[in-house]
Amino acid sequence: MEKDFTDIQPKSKENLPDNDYQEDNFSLSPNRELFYCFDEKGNYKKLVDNHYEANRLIIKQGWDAVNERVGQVRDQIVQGKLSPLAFFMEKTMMEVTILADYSGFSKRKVRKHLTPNGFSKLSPSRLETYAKVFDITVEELLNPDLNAQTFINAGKKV
Amino acid sequence: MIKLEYEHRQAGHCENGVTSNLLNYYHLKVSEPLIFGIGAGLFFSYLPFLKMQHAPVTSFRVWPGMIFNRSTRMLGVKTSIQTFSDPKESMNILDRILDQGTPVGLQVGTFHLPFFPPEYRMHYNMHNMVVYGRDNDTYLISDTVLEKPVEISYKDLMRVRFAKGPFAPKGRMYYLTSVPEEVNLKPAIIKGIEKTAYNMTGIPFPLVGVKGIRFMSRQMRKWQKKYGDEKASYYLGQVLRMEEEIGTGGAGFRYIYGAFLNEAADVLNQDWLKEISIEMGVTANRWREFSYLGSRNCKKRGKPEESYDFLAGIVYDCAAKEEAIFKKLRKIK
Repeated sequence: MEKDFTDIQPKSKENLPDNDYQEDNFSLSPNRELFYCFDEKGNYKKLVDNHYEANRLIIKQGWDAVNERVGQVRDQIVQGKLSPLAFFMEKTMMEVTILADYSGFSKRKVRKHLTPNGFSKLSPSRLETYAKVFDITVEELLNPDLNAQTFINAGKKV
Repeated sequence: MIKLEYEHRQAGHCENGVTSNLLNYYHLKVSEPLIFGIGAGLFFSYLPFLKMQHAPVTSFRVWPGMIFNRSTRMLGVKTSIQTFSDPKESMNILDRILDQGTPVGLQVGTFHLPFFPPEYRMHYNMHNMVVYGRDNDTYLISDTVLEKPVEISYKDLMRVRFAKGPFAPKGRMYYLTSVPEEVNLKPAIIKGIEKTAYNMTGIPFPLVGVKGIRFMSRQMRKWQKKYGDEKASYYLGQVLRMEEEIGTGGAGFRYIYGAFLNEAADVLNQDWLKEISIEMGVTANRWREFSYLGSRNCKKRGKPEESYDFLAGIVYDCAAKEEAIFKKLRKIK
C-alpha cells in the first residue's frame, strides 16, 4: 500500500551556495531535512537535503530582525530607559506574555520590572526567579554582558 | 531500561510523520501524504489582526492536533490523549505507558529542545515527537525533523513538555490504544478530500481558504506604501517562513497534498485524480516560485528587488489555480 518514492541522493555539503552566509558567520545546523517535490512529468519525489537558498535567506532575515531588536533594547538600557531584564527578554525572543507565563508574575508586574525603577526594587527571591527563567545567575542578570549575541549569530553549532 | 522496536523514519512534517510512524509500529502501513490528506491537513488562513513574532499570522495548514485526531478517527484507530497540570505526574504516567510497551507521542515547545536545529528554536509550542524508550534519566526520542533518533534527559524533557507561551502544550501526550488489523482507506480518503475541498472553497469567511489567499494578495500590494520597505519585507518574510515551515518543500504543504492525490488515485482507482495531482504540483511549483522570488526582497534592507505587485500577482494566480482544483475535488464520489 505504501508507495515507494525514489529517494534522490542528496548533494554533498561542499556544493552548497555559500556566498552571503559565510561573511555573516551565519551557520545553519548540518541536519538534512526531508522535502516533497514535483517535476513537470507528474512525478512526486521525496528528497533529503539541506535548506535551499531561498529558505536560508528568509531564516536569516528572521534572525537579523531578532538581533536588531536586541540592539535597540541595548541602546535603551544604556540610555537608562529600560532595565537589564528587557535585554534578556528580547534576547530569548520572549514577549511580555511569555515571560509572565514562565516567571509566574502578572503581565502588569513584568512590565513594571522592565523599567529601571521597578527593576531596582526587586527582592532577591524575585531576581532568582527571573535568573532561573533565563538559565543565568543573579549576578549576570544584574550586570549583563550587553554585547552577547543571540545564539544563532554567535556561530554556535549543534 | 526499555527500548521499543520503533522505526524512526524522517518525515516532511512532524504531525503527519508521528501519526504515520505510530501506525507503522502497529504494522499498519499508511504513508505520510495519506495521513495528511485523510486528516484534511491542507488549509490557508491569513489573520492580520493577530500578530506572531511581530507579523500577521499566516498559516498554510489546519490547527495543530487536528491531523492526528481526524486521521486516526477516520481509520477507526482508538487513541488516548491527556494533558496535565503537574509536571512530575505527567512524567510518571509517561513512564508507566512506556513500560507497557507503547510508544508515546508528545507535544512540546521547541525553544528549549536541546537537539533541535538552532535556526528553528523559536517559542513554537506545537512540535510533535515520539518517545520510544528510556534508561534511568535518559529518554529515547524519534523526531521526524532529524535524520537520526536522539536522546533527551528527564529534566529537559519535562521542561519542553511544559513550555509556556501561546498554545502551551501542558504536557500533552497521546498514544494508540487499539488499531484494527485491516483498514478501508477508500471512505477515509473520500471524506478527507471532501473536507479539504470544503475548507478551501466553502467556508463563508473572507480570511480563510481560497478567499484568504486572495485577501492576502490584495493586502500585499499595499504593504510597501503602508509600512515602508523594511517592514513590508519583514511581513513578506514571515509569510514565506510559514510557507517554508520545516519540510514542506517550500510550497506550504502543497507538494505533500499533491503526493496524496497521486496516491489516492491509485487506491480509489480514479484516474482523474492523477490529473488533479499534476495540477496541484504545478500550483505548488508556482508557490515555490513566489517564495524564491520573494526571498530576494528579504535579502537586503531598502529597495526590494521584485515589486510587491508582481509577487501579489503570483499569489493571486495560485488562488485561481487552487479554486479550480478544489471545485473539481468537491465532486468526488
